[in-house]
Amino acid sequence: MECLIQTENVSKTYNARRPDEFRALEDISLRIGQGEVVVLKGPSGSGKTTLLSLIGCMSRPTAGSILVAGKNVAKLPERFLTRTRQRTFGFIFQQFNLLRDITVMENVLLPLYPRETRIGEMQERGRTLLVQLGIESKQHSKVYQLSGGEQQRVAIARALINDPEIVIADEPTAHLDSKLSVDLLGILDNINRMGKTILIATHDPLVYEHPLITRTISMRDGRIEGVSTP
Amino acid sequence: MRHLKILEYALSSLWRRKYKNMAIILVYAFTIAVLASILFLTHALKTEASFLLAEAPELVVQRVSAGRHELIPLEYGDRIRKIPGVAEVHPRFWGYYYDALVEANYTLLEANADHTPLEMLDGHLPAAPGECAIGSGVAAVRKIGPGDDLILVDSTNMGIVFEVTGVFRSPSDLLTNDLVILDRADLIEFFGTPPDLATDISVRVNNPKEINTIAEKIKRQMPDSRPISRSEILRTYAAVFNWRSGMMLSVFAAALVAFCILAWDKATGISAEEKREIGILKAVGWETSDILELKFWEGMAVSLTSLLLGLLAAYVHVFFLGATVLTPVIKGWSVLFPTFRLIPFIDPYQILVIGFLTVPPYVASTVIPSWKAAITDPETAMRG
Repeated sequence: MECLIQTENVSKTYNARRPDEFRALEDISLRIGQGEVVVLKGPSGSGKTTLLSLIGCMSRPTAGSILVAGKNVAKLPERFLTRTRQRTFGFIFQQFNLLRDITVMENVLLPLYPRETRIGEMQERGRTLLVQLGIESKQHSKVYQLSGGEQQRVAIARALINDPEIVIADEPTAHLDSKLSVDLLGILDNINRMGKTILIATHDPLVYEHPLITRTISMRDGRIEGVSTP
Repeated sequence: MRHLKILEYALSSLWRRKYKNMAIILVYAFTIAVLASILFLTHALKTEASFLLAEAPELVVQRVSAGRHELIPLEYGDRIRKIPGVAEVHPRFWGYYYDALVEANYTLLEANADHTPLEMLDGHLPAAPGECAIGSGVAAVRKIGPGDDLILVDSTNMGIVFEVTGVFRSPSDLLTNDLVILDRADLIEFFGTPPDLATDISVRVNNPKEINTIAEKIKRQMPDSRPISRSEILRTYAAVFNWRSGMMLSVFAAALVAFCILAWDKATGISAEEKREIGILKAVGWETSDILELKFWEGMAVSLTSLLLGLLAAYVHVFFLGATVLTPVIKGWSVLFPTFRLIPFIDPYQILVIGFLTVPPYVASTVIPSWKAAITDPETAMRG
């Protein structure tokens, strides 16, 4: 399996050299192959979300290197880092991070506004995704009018609109009940079948015990505790 | 394509916060309206004054006694005529009249003075004793027109009836608004002017460059005279209007300070909600430059809308409502009665100055705090 993501001795320290200095990650080295569905599991504060945000180019490590498709993103200038984030990653956040007072369709199309994609084509792509996720009837609704499960689907549609190679999901079931969580895993399964690599941070057994998962990385106190393959 | 889509997003983003943005536009437009009203009014008055003075004689000679304007002997005219370089000398008869009936001041002028803009007359000038032509302001306050009678009370407290033969129509109301043109003999009799005296004397010179020299000679030969050149009057008008607009601009400064506080408040921080939105946009792939462009369009949309609304409000206030708020300060007492309507004269340079004073500071106050949020990691910015 071709290696898509590789981290070498990655560390992340917040508020360095200040009294409230906090080491969130320490010496993280891992390899994730293309098409894998990898779970980062561990208790709150174990560093799962920090690791996801470093791999997803949302912030930079204090030390170490992160290679995404062979490119060291830890050293990329801001402009190129954003471009990598835009073209390579789709994010599903724990809090959904949708803009509440715009429509579902506008939220889904957000990543495409600063790109040279025609409006007609943008809307077509948006509609196709909403149909696939079963929420096309909500495309003109405002986000605050939706249920938690529907908002989660909007966040998934937005993550997929750029057709990213890697989908990153941070605690995707945190705000869903069991039925909706199972539905979500079904959706992630479909996404994986499209050839996408999926990286999930969770402490929900429903997720990390699902047959879809190819590898589980256990974390504690900013370090990798163990790796298991089902 | 990309820029258009960001502009579209900027407009929809403004619409989402419509109440907040409408409040900003209202305050912003009001500030611009105050500034623009002062500049429009001052400029229109100066232009009206220059229209008025374009028809004025190059040199007017008055007689001064105890520092006050007195009637001038006709014999002074003969002496001025003999000064080398003087082309023409005309004694002028005119005066002011207070109409207690409508509480208005009129300017009464002789009919055959060659400096009066006669071609602007709608109807005809008085051709015989007992006739008069009036300005549109006089016609309006007395509610009269051609064929009606105008009754004025003369120096002996006798009511004199004049038949209105025409009403002035002019590109400048300031020029003719309060005028009442009478036959010369009627005017002399009305004011009871002694036969050997005139109100003042107009002088035309062969070489305009010699005006000051001739004025000096007149002053030397007739020490109680006061020669006034057209350029001096123009300077006085400009100084008076500049001084008055300066007073108003001081008042405006208070409004500007309030606006600056608003802009500063905006520039020193954005709300947690806005920071979160910037974080989300960055997280989904917007570059820092895209966010700055978005905020630039937002700032431009608000400031240009306010600029247009402010200019429109100022235009309506000054040229349709007669600058009701500013008139008492800027125009002064002498032209207050009868009131007149200003002809719109707008200097594009002034529009540019207003735009430059208001648009860039607001756009900067929108972009700078967003730039601070946009260069932060999306993860940090999303937390607000």
